[in-house]
Amino acid sequence: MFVLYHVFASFSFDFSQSFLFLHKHLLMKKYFSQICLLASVFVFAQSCSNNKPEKTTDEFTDTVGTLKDSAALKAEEMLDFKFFYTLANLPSPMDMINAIYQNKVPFSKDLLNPPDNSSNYSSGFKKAVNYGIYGIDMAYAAFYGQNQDLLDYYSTSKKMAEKLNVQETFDLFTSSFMDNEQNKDSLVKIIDRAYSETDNYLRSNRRVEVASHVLAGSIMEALYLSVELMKNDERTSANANLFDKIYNEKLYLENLISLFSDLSKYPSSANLLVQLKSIKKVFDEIKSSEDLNKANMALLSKAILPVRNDLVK
Amino acid sequence: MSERILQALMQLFAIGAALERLTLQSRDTVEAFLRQQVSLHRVQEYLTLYDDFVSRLDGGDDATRARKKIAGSSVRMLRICTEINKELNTRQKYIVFLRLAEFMQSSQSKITNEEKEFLETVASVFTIEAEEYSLCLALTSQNFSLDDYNSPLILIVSAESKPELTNAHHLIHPDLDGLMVFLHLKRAQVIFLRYSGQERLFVNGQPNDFSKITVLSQGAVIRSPRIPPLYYTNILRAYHTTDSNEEFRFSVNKLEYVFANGKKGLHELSFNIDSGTLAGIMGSSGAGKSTLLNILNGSSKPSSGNVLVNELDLYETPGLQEGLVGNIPQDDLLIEELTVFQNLYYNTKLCYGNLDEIEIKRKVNSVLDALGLIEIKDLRVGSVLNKTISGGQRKRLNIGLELVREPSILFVDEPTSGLSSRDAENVMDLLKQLALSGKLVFVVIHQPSSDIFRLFDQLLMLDTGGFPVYFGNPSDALMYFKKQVHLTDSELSECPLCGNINPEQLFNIIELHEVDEFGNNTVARRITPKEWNQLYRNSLSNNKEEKKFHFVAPTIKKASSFSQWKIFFTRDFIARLSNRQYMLINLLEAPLLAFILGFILRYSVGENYKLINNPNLPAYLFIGVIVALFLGLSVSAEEIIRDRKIQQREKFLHLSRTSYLISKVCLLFLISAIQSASFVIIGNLMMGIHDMSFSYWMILFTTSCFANLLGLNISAALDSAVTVYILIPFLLIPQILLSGVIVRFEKLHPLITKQEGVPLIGNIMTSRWAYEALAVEQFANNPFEKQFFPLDAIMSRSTYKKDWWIAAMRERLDKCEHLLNQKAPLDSFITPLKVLKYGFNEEAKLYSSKKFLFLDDLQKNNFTRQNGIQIRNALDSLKEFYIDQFNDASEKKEIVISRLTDTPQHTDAFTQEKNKYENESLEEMVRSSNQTDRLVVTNEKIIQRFEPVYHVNTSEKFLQAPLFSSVKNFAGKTVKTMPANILVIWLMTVLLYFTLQINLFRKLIKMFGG
Repeated sequence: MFVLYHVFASFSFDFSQSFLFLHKHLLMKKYFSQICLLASVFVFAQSCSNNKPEKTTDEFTDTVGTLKDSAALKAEEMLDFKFFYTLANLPSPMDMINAIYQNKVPFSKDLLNPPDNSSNYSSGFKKAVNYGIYGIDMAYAAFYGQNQDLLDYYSTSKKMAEKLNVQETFDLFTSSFMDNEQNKDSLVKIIDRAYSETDNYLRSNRRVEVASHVLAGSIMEALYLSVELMKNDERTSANANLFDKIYNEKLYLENLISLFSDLSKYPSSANLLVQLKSIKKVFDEIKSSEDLNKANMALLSKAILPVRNDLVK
Repeated sequence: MSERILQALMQLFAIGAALERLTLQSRDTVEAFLRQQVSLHRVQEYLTLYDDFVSRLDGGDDATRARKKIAGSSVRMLRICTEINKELNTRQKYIVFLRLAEFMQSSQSKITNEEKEFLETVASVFTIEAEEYSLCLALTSQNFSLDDYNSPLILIVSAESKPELTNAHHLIHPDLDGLMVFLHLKRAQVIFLRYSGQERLFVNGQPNDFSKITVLSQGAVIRSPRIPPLYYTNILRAYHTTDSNEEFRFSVNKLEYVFANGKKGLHELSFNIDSGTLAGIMGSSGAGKSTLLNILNGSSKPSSGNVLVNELDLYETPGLQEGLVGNIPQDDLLIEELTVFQNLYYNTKLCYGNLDEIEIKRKVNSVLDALGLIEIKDLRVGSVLNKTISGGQRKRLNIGLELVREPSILFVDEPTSGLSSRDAENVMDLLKQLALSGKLVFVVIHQPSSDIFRLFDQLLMLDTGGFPVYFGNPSDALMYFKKQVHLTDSELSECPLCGNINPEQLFNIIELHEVDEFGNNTVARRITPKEWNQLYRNSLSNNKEEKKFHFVAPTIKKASSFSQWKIFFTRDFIARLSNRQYMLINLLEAPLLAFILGFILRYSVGENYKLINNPNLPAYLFIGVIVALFLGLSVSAEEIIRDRKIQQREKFLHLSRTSYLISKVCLLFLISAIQSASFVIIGNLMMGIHDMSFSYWMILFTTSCFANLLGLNISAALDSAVTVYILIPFLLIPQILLSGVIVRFEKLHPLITKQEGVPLIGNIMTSRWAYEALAVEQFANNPFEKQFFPLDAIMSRSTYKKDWWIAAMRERLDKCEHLLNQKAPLDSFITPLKVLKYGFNEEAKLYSSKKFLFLDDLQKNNFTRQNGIQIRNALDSLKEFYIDQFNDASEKKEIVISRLTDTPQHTDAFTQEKNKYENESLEEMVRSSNQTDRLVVTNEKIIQRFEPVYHVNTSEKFLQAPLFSSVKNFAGKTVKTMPANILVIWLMTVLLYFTLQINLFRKLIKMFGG
């Protein structure tokens, strides 16, 4: 009798493992072609949905009831435009990570947001912001070829995507991600694309505010990482471009502040706006990239750290 | 003889001796008397006592002193008698008086008046009646005449009849030398025997001195080589003028039995036996003894012929068998965990529904008394290996189980097998006494000893193949067979030296082998069973003694079904309670398992354990279900097998199977309830699962109950515990495999898999229903998720619709338009159109306000360019609709969350709650996050795979709901998964109860060559 129990017990302890295994390797590799096919369907569908549909009132009558009135619609469109503008005029936050990597700054895992934190986020704001943060962390790990961390952040981001109900974009990402697991450059590109895909998706679903949160998360994480990593370094000719980039983050901040000043739905947005402004203030004191000395960097760090820590809490 | 009686006697003897003045001679008599009663060294002790009394009485020789002495002695005597009177019981008083009378008359001289007076005084003090007094005197007197014995208290046994004794009872034993006179004193329950003759008689196996009167106690047997044994009850019966209402005749008429395979099990058999007979059935193995017994006892109907009791057909008269027949099979029918008393007590309760507690207890005690088991009545019966009572006592208790019902006809199968010769003799003596008390007892016996063989009144012999070869007096049997094979000494039935009969010899003669030319035995029988049977038929005489019987079969009022249930239940319950090992293992197993499981699975990130981060919760739930199934099965799988013999007996008694089964089921459910409760309490504590215990218990208990019934079914279907345990993996492994945890239902063999809902093979698995219920209940109904679940469900559903479903619908639309451009034949439109049609119908059903005008066209399988535009527009609007629905719900949820997290303290509390109740691993499972297929398109429709726990589809049927769906449709209503699943398992359980009730599986196994 005991033997039987034992057999059942060992059965069960295996299965969660096997699930993971199945999910990570077998399924992805084996069904890659199907997933691609499905993905292409989705991409196609996605591109269709990007065209704003014309309302057809003769077909059915009451959907209008749930739609916003025209004024609200207008504000929403404004926000959407502003978001798009912000996005279009800035290089991706991934660029900053790339610059850090190019300057051979050593990988520092301690600075990242631990994956275990993901279960702490309940509000939509926290979910979205940390989705952005994890994206940057994932890219950071990808640049440095830290595959274990990469996988950890991958599964965490996936979880976050699910919590945000943006699985659709992540499904596309999943297939190409698994396919390029060994290829660092394409991985970074894929992550980048996945996040811009998320932006697109959120915009098309009229969740611009959520998209803004994601964007804020990634900008803040990139800024935080760069400042934290470089705050003990003096500016040299070799790393000048990196300091320039840090200084240029000011622009991101400005755009973000402008974007957030139109966000009204959540108190958290207003809160972040205040925090962003406090950071901007420190930035404003610094006149040029050349002025980014240790002292200024310390000031910046002092301003950024509490904000970022508040975000990942 | 007790000390007290002896002391009293010594005093009385002394007085008597003084009266007789024959002190010296009577001293010899006293000594001789004492030698009989006590051991040698104590003889002297009592003699001294006697002398002491005598010397005190002894005075001079002259008449005056003698008279004075007598006067004095009579006073003294009165005092002594009064003293004795206080200390002796009735029986002892009679014995003292008898011994005194014997003593007084031991001398040759005639009894004097003084002596007579003395005896009369003693008798009157002892309140012995006049008739008893004179009979005692007659019995002890040296010269008696038969006329003195003409009293109903007297039984005479002699070789020839004594017609002059009109009042006395009389038995004739032609071989007896001399005369036996029995005096039965009813009040004292004692029988005195005086024997005058030359026979060497043995009382209770001891040679007896018949110069004195013998006191026979209950159960005494008088044996002699020449006459059949004379039993105490035998003697008692002789006193009773038998009541014809209790007499009956058991007749068998041209009985034949043919097995199902066409082989004859019993060849034509007819006989008559009257009540009060002990009948032996003998035969070599395979002769069909048990078959015959079963026919005679009314449990298997003969192929032809009939069994009659007083002309009433045993098989045709309702209630006859129940009230009349008792059956004692060879196997033990005892419940090992119960005491001797309890075994008999519950049995009695089942048989007598109309008696109250006191009467039942009295009945049980009287049977125990009669069987000599009263001393051990509180001992546990114990198993055959772990004996607490002896084999003979077990057998007697088995007999007691039947005796308590007071059947008139008893069938006993091999009562002596496995018993020591002493035990065997005891058991057979018991049966003989039953027969003497007016019952008819059939005993199947193998190789009885000579003594046992002699007990039978009638003997029926069967030869191989069911041929009857002898019916009649057992002592004549040997002579008959010897005669048939022309042996010498055929008139000698027993050993002339020792008086033993060797029943073995019977078989030797019947199975005599032919001898070949070298003098070796061959296989062939000299006389075949058929020939023996022919000889037997020829010898049958037709003179059937006609006798009228007015016998009314007693009707036994069984306990009602409900009382039976109660009795079965308490009997089982008490048996369980007294089995400490069983109780300990059963009660500790579940919590121990839960502890081990909980300990192993309690993974934590960092120091603080949080349920939310434990990846093992699905494993815990799964093992919980398997444990429930396993415990439920193992606790029940042996139940009915263990009871099989007892059950067969209860079937023989026509007790209710339903009551039996329901009592079993109730007891098992009780055990399962305790087991699952202890499992849930400990397990949930270890795993840190809060506030869900009742739901968990309900589900696991239900699962266990199902397993209980499954176990009962297999234990009813199979013959041995080993086969049951071999079968258990066969039942459990599919349950494990198809619980929905190990494999995915849509990825099975194409023959059994199904794209929508759970395939049949999964649906018949209890584990799947239980696991789904647990997983969904834990995920959707925990106190934390409960507040968000409805919103989450809306968000999930609209996400599915807008992100996946609409895309899939568009693909069908594109296909249609493409086909239209190609001017493809109409047939090729059908499949994509069907999918579109189904999709829009579903939407229309979901939101009644939505009207899709093109649906009518699609209904006719019509697709035009105009339709294409309409459909595209409709899909676009739907997408907008779902985007809004999503954002709406999302906003609402954010509002709730922000309200709950308005202060840092609240936020902390909120996070803590979440950590306490939620589990990510489980969420991943029920939302099927790890699966990449969000939907599947068949030829007819689009099937959602996306987040099944949030799945709602009002148009699908109960079984179409995907695994882990939180609601199901039933009869137009949505029901929650947990109650629905519990109900499904209970339905399965009830179904299993019915298969158990009709014993379906056993019948099936039998049908397919079991």
